[in-house]
Amino acid sequence: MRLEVFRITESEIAPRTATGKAVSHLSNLGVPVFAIFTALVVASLAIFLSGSNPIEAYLALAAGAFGDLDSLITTMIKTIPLLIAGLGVALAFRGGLFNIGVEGQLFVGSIAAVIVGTGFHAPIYIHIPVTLLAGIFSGALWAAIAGFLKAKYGANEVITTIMTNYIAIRIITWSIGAYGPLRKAASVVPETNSIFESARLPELIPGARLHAGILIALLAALLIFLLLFRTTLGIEIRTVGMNLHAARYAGINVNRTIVLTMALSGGLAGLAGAVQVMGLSPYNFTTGFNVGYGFDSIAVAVLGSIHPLGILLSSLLFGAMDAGARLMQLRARVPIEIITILQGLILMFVAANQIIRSLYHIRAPKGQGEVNLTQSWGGSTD
Amino acid sequence: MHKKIFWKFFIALAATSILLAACAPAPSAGGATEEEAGCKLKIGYVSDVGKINDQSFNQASWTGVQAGAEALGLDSSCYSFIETADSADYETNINSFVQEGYNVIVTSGFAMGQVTRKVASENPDVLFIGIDQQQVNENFEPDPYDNVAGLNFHEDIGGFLAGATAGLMTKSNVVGGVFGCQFIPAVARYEVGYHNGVTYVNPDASIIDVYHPGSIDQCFSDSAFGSETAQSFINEGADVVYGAGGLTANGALITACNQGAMVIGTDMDQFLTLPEVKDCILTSAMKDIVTGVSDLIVAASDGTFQGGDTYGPSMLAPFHNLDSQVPDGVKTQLIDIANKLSTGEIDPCAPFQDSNPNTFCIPVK
Repeated sequence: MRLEVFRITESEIAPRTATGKAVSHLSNLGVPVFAIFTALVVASLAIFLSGSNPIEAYLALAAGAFGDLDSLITTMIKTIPLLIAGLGVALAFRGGLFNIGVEGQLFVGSIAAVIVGTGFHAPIYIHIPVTLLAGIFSGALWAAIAGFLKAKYGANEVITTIMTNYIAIRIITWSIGAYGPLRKAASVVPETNSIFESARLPELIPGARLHAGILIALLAALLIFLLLFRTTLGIEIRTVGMNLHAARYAGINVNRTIVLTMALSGGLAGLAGAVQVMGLSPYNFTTGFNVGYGFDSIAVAVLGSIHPLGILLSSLLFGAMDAGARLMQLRARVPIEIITILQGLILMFVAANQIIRSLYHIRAPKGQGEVNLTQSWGGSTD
Repeated sequence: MHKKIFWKFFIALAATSILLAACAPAPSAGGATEEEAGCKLKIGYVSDVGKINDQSFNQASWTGVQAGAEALGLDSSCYSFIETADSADYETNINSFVQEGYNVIVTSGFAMGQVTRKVASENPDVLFIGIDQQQVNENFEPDPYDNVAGLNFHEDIGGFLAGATAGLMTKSNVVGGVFGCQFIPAVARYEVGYHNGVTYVNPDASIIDVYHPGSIDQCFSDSAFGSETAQSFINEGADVVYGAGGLTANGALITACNQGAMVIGTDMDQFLTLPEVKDCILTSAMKDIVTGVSDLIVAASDGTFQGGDTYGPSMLAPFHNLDSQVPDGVKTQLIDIANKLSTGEIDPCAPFQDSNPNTFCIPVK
């Protein structure tokens, strides 16, 4: 039975994507590059209106992101959570699911890592993996709720993941707030205890802040690439994403795949959260920590054409912008909101890629519809 | 046809942006060295997670930086700010100013206290000003550094003066107070000081103090809670209501005012910041962050900068519209109390039965 499914999908689906690959990759790169350029031009108007010199601002932005070793390290640190969580969003997209719950899943992963990282003492080679796994499994479990509701009752995962965001973030805010169970004693701000040294990710260069999370992120990118394009499960996920009914017709267990896709997606988000608390001083969770990475990662995934390689580049770009923002504020006196505007413009031009294609005469790739992003709104599982 | 329109649009856009860049007011990156030569002091400000136009803490801090820089006659290119978007960035943001050669770095908020001290210990040549940051080590023991001035405030003194005003002005002998988070030392100091102030001038008055029970994301922003609490005070016969705690307190002040009670504000002169209560606000227990920061910046320039905890001015705001209703006897009594507080003759932070333990008061020398 299973073998037969494999044969059908291999012959029917895999070759089609393989032939279109080279062509679509080239033009897929073209749209984001031109979108970034156009967004920079449009944002320069906003910078000017805020009373600053756009050229000076962009030079400061570049210097703050790549100017010296310390800036490069900051860029890489900012890239880590965006890359991991962006992979999570992309995985869900590939499976035809829109996981807006990354922010909440990331928070859940952070808190689980804090609980395990402060819960017991263990040798470093046990404590680090266990803490990472706690982040992954808690995020996966949290996301699987939305997957289960979709598979079992056809509940739209866009709605349920938005709602689970609120639930997760509110419970965590309570737990670290006044009299909360995770609140650090004798502290005036809401924060948890710092996780033990045995569960902290080692620094790659001592004293330079860059931690082993970058290796975990790169490994995750490789593994997700292999999972999506080199395994049966990957084909199943993508088949469900391309056409739910065809997938069911081909004998794929659609419900199981939906739950599994959400769980994998949430697991990556949870991993991103765990890596943040395990890698960055003061190694604890506090209000204002990690905020926004979950939502930015959606932008990163879309800009990266929901492909691990593309996400590697787009997360680096967003990480560089986040890192460079401080010098842009400091040197050019540009408000930090400009970075958000810039990121929003890039995403807008990628999403409305017809504008970019018309502007720069880029042909639309043949064999569109690799991923059915709108399935969430129209499609049901029945 | 569409393509043509887009191209025209795009070319116009590109042209304007280049034009804008060319005629932009700020000097280009090449002018950086020139800037440095013209600055006798470079001042950087790192906000807490939040914006410098929050009409509150961060804004007051940044305004203080600007005021200090203006007092020194610095060019606007000599001071700058970074708004913190993620609390994980505190250290990076402070270090950015260090790397850019800034001499004075101002950070605001208790949460950044330990990070500020850490960066300061690594950069002994740079002066740091930490607002609401007591210079204590991780065990809350005093531990001053030469290059860090912690700008704190005797909120207990401000609260005491507010309480004395309330105790002297009440006719029903029932006064109320609505407060923000009880675990924030500054808020606890306001409350304990207020309680002591009322008792000092009017031992017979009954005092109803209520803290918001929620966590940090609610206790300063729940105006509905403040409003309901104030209403219950009025029902108990209170005729003076004090509010200390952001929007929560503002809700209480507005409701109490609408119900005919007199109110007392906090932090800033709320006659100016909360016009809804301008006809019933007696005064405000002010903590003058702007002057405090500005004075420390001037001190950094003329060599009188001292490390360790310093205290900014705590005082009452003018009586404004109610000035004629405050008897001269009350005014002289308040001045007398203020003098006694400044010499340490009165302890505004003395604990009483079941008083909030989170005050961390430091007595006036």
